[in-house]
Amino acid sequence: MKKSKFTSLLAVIILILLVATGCSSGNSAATTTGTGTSGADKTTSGKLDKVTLQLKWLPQSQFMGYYVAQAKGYYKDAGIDIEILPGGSDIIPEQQVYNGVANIGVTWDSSLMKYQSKGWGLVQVGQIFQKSAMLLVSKASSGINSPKDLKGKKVGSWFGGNEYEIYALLEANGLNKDTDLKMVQQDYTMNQLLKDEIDATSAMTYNEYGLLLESGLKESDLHVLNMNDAGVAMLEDCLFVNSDWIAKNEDLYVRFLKASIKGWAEACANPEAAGKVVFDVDQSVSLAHQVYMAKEVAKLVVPKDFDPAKIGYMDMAAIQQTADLALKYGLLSKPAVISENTFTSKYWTKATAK
Amino acid sequence: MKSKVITILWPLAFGIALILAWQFGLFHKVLDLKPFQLPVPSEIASTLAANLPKALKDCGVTISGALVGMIIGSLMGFMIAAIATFFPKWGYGGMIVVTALNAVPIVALSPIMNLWFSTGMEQKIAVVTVVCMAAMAINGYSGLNNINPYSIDLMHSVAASEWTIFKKLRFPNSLPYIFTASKINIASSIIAAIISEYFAASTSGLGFGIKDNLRKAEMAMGWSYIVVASLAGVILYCVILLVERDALKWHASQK
Amino acid sequence: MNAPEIQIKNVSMVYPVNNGQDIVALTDVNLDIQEGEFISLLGPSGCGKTTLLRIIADLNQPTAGSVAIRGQSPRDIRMQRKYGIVFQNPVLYDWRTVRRNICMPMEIMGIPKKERTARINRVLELVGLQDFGDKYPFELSGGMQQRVGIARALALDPEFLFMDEPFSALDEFTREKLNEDLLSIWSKAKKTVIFVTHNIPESVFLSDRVVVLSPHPGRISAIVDINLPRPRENSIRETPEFYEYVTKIRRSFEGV
Repeated sequence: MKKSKFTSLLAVIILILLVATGCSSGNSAATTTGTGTSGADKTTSGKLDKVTLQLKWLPQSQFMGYYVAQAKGYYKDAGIDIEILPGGSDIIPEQQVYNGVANIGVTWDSSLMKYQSKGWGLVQVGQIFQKSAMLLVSKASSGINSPKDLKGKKVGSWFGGNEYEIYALLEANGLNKDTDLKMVQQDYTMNQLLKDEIDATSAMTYNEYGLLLESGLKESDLHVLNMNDAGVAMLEDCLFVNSDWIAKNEDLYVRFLKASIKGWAEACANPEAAGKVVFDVDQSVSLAHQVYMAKEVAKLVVPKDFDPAKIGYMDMAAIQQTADLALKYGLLSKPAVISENTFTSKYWTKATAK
Repeated sequence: MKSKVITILWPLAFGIALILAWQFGLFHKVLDLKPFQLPVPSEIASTLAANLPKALKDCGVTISGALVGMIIGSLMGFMIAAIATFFPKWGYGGMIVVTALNAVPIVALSPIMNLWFSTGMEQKIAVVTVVCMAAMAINGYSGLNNINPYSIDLMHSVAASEWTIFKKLRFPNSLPYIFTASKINIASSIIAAIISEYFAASTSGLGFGIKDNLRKAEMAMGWSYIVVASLAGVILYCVILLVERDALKWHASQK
Repeated sequence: MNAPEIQIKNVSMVYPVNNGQDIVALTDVNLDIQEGEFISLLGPSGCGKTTLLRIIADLNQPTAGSVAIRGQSPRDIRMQRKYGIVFQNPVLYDWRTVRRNICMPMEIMGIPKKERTARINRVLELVGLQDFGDKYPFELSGGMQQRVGIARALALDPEFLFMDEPFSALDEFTREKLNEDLLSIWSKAKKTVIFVTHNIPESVFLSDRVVVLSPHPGRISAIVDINLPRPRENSIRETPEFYEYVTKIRRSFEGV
């Protein structure tokens, strides 16, 4: 009897451990190093180099450039056999790429900086979104016209690193995030705002804001706080790789980036068609929503007055602002090191050379 | 006495060996992990020490939700078992529904509860309640009905009412089953509370701390929450064992 | 002669079976039992002896015929809590000590606490378990557990004692000892006892009359008066008269 008690006790511990760690990486230490093709010969051999891309979220128009490049065969033309891995709430691109499950990842700059600061050998190699898409949206009826009006309100965020633009917005406006209002974790729907369980919700211009409009609310029913306007924008979707991998696969990555930029340029020029391409890959949301998202994402990738030929350009000033905000509002405990080893535009320069 | 010492000593020695192997990099070598991926015990301990007040506060949030949910869920589960015993015809249907509920994964349950309840604590209690209901209903039903038929004949021979039979025979007979269910439920209630916190509309609790920190590369902090969760689970499990030992002196398993 | 204490008239019991081949457990049983009589229902398994006892105790309902106990139905007698019953196994509640097991039916009957304590002390002594009152069932041997079951029935001070193979699970030594004890208890109280057994010497030793049942279908095949002197002790088993009764009953089975 005693023995079985200890066994069950052990089982309890193991169960809790399993559950608790289940959300972290959940990946085996499978490693797929690069195929090691040297830069000299390109596509002439006819043999394709395998590249795995880890998305930050589910297949959707947020990532339309890669899907268009895939659909149009741009990767194949560059000698690449692409595999696009969907993300999810329990998939962390930094860990996937570091562990070798994927070669290239899509993540947010601030999150990447955090991993870099902890010693993970990852390097940023291209900035797809030039603008922040983060909004703080409230119902017009709740009277939140400026950030200051958030005092005493219930404000939602997805957390896990997505909360720092909001923290920056609050503190820039003299609000203490812990005492002046209540921050709560929101889910991936907009139900909490729609049911008035929270007063303001985090929303991406290209996704959740569209969900609110699709739920029947008009733009005039909603008040929006935009991080770009408030001067607290942090950079979002960027491309990154494992430092060891890129050292051996420089040419492969440049080919990937070139094909991706081509895909993005085409997607941004014709978001309607790009939305359809994504919809053909994944029908979990409506075609209309994919097209809406494609149009909004195009505004982030090629903002007003931005040269489409420069897609993927790394604006070091914007990166520095992201790093400064991440430090100031507590994501980072020491200043981010921004160097050739952590944020490098040399591959982008090669990929966009005429 | 000697065998008792050994049964405690062996797992203890095994546990210490495990921690030492972890500390001195054996796991990291075997699994090809870096310390920033899987922090070593000393780093977890120092991180935990530095953040102890917050960790304990979060632990209190999670455990109180888990316990309240477990109590409500266990009471409801036992009531379903009692109803199924008194009214076998449609009570049996209730048992089937509860068993089916048991098969709904917590990750699916949490968003549903988020729709019905607005605060993190309510959501957590609701998820834990549902999770604990099934084990108690199923075990409780066994305990109330797994009875020597002569025991019931004996009750009938002195013209005992159904209620008397429940009070004096069925309920005491179900006690060992109730403890079995409680031992299952103490683990699953903590797990359910933690998982519900992954999704809940709050920023407190062990589950939120684990998820948020592991996502943000704060591995040592995330792991110190995991350690707190495990310790809380072990302590509560031991409390149940002690209560059981006291309450079931008469049971053959306690000899 | 007085009117019989228990009158069994044309009792039949059929268990329906799905395939249509119903099992006839008892067919057309008639039996009168006198007040204070010790009656054994004897027969091989499947002869319906336990079923007959359970019908008298109102734990089963006959499919035909009737039972009258002092002119009342078995249900009336049961609701008035006039009998005590002992089963094939002790049926003790694991979570109650010996004393509290004996106490249990008395609690249900609403006997005052003081009276309960007095009766428990008396029956514990009667079955020789005065030192075991505070033990739990798992701490007792099988024979001791069965004595607790008997003590529990005796504590009710019932007007009828129904015993369903109470000693069948015990070894021969314990059984003979308990047989003797049972007779000495019975001789003091002179209850009407119906005792189910498949053991021929046991039925001869205990009974005033042995009712022999035979199976397929269950029915009374003989009733044997046992005219051995009372009080009986185990030494009576060695007498030729005892042996004759045993032989006679055994032969009555061979004739079947």
